[in-house]
Amino acid sequence: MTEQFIPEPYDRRGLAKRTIGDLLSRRNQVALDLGALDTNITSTFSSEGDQVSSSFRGLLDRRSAFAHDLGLVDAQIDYTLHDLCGTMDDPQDVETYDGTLGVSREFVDKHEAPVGQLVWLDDLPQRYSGANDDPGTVNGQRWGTGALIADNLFLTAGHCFQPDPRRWKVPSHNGTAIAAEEMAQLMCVCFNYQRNGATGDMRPGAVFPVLALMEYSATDLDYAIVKLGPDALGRLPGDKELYGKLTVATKHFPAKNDILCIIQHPNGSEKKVEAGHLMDTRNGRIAYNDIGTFGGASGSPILYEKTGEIVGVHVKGGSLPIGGFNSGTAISAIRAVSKLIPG
Amino acid sequence: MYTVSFVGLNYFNACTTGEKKVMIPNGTRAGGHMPTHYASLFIEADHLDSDDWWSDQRIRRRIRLEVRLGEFRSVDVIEFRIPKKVELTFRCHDDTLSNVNLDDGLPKLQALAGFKLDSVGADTIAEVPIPGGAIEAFRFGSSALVRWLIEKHHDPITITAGDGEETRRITLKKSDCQLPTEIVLSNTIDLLTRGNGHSQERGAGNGHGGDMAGAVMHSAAMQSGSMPGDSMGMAAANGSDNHSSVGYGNSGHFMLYAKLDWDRDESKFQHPDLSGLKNFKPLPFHHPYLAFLCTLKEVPDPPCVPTCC
Repeated sequence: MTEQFIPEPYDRRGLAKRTIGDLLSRRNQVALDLGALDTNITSTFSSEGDQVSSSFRGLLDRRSAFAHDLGLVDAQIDYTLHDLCGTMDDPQDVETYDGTLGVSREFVDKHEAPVGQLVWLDDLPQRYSGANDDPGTVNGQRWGTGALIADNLFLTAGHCFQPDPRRWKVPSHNGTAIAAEEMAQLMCVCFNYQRNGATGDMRPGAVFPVLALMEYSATDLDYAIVKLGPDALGRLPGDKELYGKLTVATKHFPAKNDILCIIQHPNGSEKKVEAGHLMDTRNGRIAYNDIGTFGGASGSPILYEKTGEIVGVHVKGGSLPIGGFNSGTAISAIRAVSKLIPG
Repeated sequence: MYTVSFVGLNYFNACTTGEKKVMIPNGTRAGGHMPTHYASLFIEADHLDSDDWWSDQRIRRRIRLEVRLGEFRSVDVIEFRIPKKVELTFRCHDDTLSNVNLDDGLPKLQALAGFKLDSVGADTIAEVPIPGGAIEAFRFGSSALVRWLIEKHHDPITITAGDGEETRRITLKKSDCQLPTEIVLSNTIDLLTRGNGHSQERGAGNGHGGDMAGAVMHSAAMQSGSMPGDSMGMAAANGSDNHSSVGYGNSGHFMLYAKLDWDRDESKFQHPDLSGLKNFKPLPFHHPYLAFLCTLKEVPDPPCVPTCC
């Protein structure tokens, strides 16, 4: 008996949104080009002085005004469209993912296990109880995301270790925030913090201590690698029988509109998956505007749908209902400076 | 038509029969674990016609937005900080207030055990009457904000701050397009200055946001803070325990709402219910300050969200 072919569900709404977005972008660009052309024509004829009739110049002025109005109308259509029906694709739980975001269920099943959550320890008030100590406001806070790239190496975002996060206060001695190295040692990585697909219950997480911050940069080249210690049974998290590790890309890199997948802990929550398209890549950075992420997703691996390899580290939001983009650090830029990236 | 987007800690007292208003808890006096919060209006400089705001509380901010990878656009925004307790009024000639969805997901202060609104003596930095228009909550990043849409008003759009002794005004230009003029009213720490809110007490200046520079650092042999297999301090990570109440990592700035409580008891605000925020759709906007907030690097937001009753 022939097995019935069931096509994978297709995200029509997402595609429609992207199509409309592309059309509006193109229309805006045409309007801008039109305006620039008008300016050029006007300045050319202005240099001819009185030889150009005032009526012709009046027509050009009116045409410029129309081009300006066209841009405003576009903006209004865009605004109204999003006001009326704007929704962003939300990340889905990894174990109940419905396969509609651009990568298959199998892809997520195969690559989610080595993705873990960076968490501040929850005994900071005890550790920073001296007269000149301040435990800050991050005690026990679920902080970022990352992925195993070796048995005990965890790739994440560098700014997770910046001592002056805008909305939080990290521990301090004598009024001075602790350094990145000390911050790292006050964190641990939790794997398997996700919802059980069969029962809907939270799975018990498995926690590994951060031993050291091995590499760190928080500029545009935003990444870090931390070294993890073993669990109580002496096992390292990247052991095959535990969570395994992801492969870092060496030669196959995505092109514009290729599908990327980000497995993440958005807003400190359980593990989720989102996917979308590469918008642009330049100067060691990757941009995407249809992959929903939230605070706490920093450090998530950006996976290439065609290979399952890590091609970047997610670091920044900015994809807005109207325009904008999220971005990450390209793995090629990290590889250029790292002594630890395998391969 | 214009909108006012309320960002951060703003309590919408709009479901009772009395005066409908927004009460903004006063976070200007920092202390203990709570960093200084500023109640500020953010108005795009090009939209401003005139003002007589307190000159030392009027800060021109240059916001740099990345429009494409590596391509930036700078926009000037004026921040008008509210220096003392005022009634803040927005020109509105709509006498019907529509509450679109605030009850569908914002944390409700009246639902917190033991909370009793101090309707007369609450420690607010500003109170904003909302006589008409529509108030609607939107998702904003991993948090939420409330947008007040005012369709009926006389021009020009005017904002007045008064405390009974003096009155200050901000007047906006008449908009030349049909998009609503956007105003932001924020009650948060200073998010535009790196090393700000929490270090403000140490005298940080009014710089602009920007990513801290730093070189790649390699470390081959840093010492471990934990012994292998040592579970000390890791209980919260595996979901087996809630965060310690001592470190304020869970409730964060939300406890500033204690300024509105009859007892001023912060313990009532330690576990806000934020599960409903995901019910809201994302906010459409053009305001550069909101765009800036969306582009901050992605560590979680502390629960600095509007509330309702």
